[in-house]
Amino acid sequence: MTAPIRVVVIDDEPDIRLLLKLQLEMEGFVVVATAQDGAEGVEACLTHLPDVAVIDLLMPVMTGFEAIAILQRQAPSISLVAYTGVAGDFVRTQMAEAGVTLALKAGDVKPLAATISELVAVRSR
Amino acid sequence: MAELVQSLGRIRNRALNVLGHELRTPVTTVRGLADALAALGHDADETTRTTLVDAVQRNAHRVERLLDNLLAALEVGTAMPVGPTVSVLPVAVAQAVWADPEGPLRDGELKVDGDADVEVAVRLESLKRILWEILDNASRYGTSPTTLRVDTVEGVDGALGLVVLTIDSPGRPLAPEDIRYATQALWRGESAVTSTPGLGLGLAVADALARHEHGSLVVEGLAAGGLRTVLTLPMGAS
Repeated sequence: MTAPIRVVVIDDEPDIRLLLKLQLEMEGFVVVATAQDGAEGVEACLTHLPDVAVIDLLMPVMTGFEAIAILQRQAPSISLVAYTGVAGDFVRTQMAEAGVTLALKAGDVKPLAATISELVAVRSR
Repeated sequence: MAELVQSLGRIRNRALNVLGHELRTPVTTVRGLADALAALGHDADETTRTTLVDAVQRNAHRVERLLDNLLAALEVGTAMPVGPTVSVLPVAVAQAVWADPEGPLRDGELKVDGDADVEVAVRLESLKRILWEILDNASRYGTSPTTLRVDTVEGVDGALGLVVLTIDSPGRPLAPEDIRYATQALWRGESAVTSTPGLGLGLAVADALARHEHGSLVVEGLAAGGLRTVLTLPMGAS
């Protein structure tokens, strides 16, 4: 039996954290930690070493852009998903250059769940 | 001309991006949690159900407030408060707003300086919303304490006087354009864009409502850093 995919959710909106934890667990993932800003998120990722971190981009204390750069240096085994309300040219360019997959916030979790599964599948090939 | 069109296009896109971002979070939450509640059905225990329903209501309220503020900031007449003009104590309203569990109070303190018994003549809903937006802005971007000073200007030739409410929120020095455009709808200071959720409507709403109540709002930078908001309203009849 395959071990469930372990996820860390990083978002400054408490209701988005609540929603993602609930939705991802209903999809069969294990949310090992949630964090409310980039700094907490980096710490949670380094502690739990999840398969995937879902990271909001606009957050106080430390933005998702900064957290992504740190995690790519310090925990390259973690697959990263940038989870954002809007994805303008700047965000698309930045994430393409960083090699990070973008996912738009949506009530339907299926696209995000598929993205997470695909990232883990690619990583394990 | 082509440059102007390009510039306007960039402004439009920036505004729509900000609006989309702020709408996306509550709409995502309402849709997602409603779906989750439906999927869980009778499997959800009472605590879970209450948590999810509360979150749905909170985010539906957030969309409603965002819509109200957008229309008010753009001065769409139908969104402006109606009802009678009454004499009220602005200091008491400010303290109530500050202490409201859903209001701007976080960890900071609101200090009052001046005559707390002075009244202004406004629609109560307008005053609450104006003060909510100013104090929310102060507590989001400033450091404690926020101070509210009350001054009066006597009327001449039998005219009613004015009440001047000066709200100071110390903080980091602000860029001149952030102060110049602070009351423009959808304008957000550069430091706010990446650090704090918001639509850039708060002071625009306060400004529109102040004028709706025959008053005015002026925003200026404090010499030591932070923001001063000066709200002037007609004095109450008492």
